[in-house]
Amino acid sequence: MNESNPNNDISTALGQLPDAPAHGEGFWDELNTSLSMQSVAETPDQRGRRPFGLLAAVAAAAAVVVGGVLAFGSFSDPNPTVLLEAAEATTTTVQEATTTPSTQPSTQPPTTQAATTTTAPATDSSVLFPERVTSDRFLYDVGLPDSFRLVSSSGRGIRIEGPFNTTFETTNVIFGDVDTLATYDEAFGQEELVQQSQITIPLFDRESTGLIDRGVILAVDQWTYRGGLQDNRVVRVYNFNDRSIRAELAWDNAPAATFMPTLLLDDIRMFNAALDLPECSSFGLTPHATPAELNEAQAITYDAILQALETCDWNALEALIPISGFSASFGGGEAPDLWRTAEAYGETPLDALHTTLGLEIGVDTNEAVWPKAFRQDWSDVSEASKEQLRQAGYTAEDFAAFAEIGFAGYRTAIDTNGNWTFFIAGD
Amino acid sequence: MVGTQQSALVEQAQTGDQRAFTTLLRDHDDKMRGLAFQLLGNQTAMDDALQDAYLKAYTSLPRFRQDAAFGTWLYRIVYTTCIDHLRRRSRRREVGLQAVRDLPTSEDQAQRLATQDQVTRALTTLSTDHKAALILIDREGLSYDEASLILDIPAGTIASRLNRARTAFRAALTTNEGPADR
Repeated sequence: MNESNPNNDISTALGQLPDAPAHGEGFWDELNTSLSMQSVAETPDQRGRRPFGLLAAVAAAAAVVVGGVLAFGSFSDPNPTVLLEAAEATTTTVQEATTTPSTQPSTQPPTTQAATTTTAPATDSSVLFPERVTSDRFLYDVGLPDSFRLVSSSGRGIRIEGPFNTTFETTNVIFGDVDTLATYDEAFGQEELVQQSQITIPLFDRESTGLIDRGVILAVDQWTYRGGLQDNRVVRVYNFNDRSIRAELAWDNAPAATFMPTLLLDDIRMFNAALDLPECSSFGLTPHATPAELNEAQAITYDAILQALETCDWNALEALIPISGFSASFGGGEAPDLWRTAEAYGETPLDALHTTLGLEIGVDTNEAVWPKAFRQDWSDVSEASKEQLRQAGYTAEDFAAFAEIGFAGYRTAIDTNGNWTFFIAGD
Repeated sequence: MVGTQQSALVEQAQTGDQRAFTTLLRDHDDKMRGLAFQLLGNQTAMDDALQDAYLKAYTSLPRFRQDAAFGTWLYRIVYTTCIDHLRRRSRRREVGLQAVRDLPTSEDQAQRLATQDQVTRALTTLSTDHKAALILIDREGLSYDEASLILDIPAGTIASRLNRARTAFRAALTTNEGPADR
């Protein structure tokens, strides 16, 4: 064509492209409706994690009263500083290294390849999303898999090494960044792509994955090409705790087992739909054994609550709440909407509920209650029970308060007819 | 829109002012449609992606500190959303922009449509990231720094990517030269 002589200016050629069409009818109305259903006015503090304990519970209750936002805590090991320091110390080493892939993933130095293990500058994404939580949060919330070791950490993620025994059939190498992926894709071209699939791998099962803690899912986009490399994968690591997703590049033609999140995408609420992941803090938690002290009706309700929590089934949860008589926080509330709102703000009421149901049970002729300490004088609470509460996140400060007013943390109960009666906190 | 005016609107929108947010969107919608349409290839996909992207932008707005221009930030969200939509298409290969066009009424118009078609077809042969680099820099006139933020790659990579994209685009134009085989 005359005007599109390939040597002509590219911009001129691109100027020939048809303009984008106007939006379809109803686009803005639909958007406005969707926007109306969202809540945007939140502060970073509201999204932050709060300590799990009495003071947090009281503050949460106050938040309900004044702002309609319920704040719950969570249950992770509070030692981010040490982890971050360790991470930063190793980052420097790795970024300067240029070595070859290791076949001893757990014991060898970082397997950095000049062309593939690019650690992109932290500036680009952090400029756009300065509130992103990064590697220290990842370590803090999720912890390293048992057999993995930390190799590096940067503003864009961490790198750990170890066997990666998921449902992948072979030992995996995960390295590179999104740009590397793009280059790789180019080399093969769309016409050579013969298969693409997406699998989601839940990583809650320590036996099959080697990962510890909860709230992580890998979603894997997989491309298979004719000839050459197969199984080019983009792996997304979803962290329920900080509600972020990290994306990695993976392919399995190299011998080392490396795991390196390289790109932290944005908030879960931005990408949740894309991954079709349920959004709640209790999703995937390990079920508690049904307490032997429960009667049949109570046991059914107990199991049903846990199942609803672990599958993040809001409808099932709602169905379990009796219309006549359920207390959710002070003076009653509109559960589960109250919890749903809290979860949307990054809080973890369902996680708290799940944990509470795993605490020591107290049973009398009317109800079963968790924890047992709620129905006891604090002086009668056993050491074992107190230790359980400590592990759940209650602090010495909380204990001092309990000594004066009795246990006033999160508690829940099911009556002898199998009715779930409350899930509240505070005095 | 003047920078300070936009900044004020962003602040308003961050407090939950939906009207301020949609005002911002409408100011940038032309460019966002341009990117989404060229990447996704049809109006339906463009609208779907932009619905998602704008919603994501709204929910992410509290964390936008105006370190980058709102337009750049929004571009980034639109771009990642489009990539996500492309990945979710699974194996359906959807190339080509909207095929439905008015019939040409003159020779000039016929020639223009033929040219348009050739450019479009050339563009669809490129990978998504090449396409994005071309559109953002060579069509929309963004700087390397801005494109670097949007595509989330180092500025140095932008230059090499653009160079490869231009080469591939020129090659595709050459291949497509001649009457469109519609």
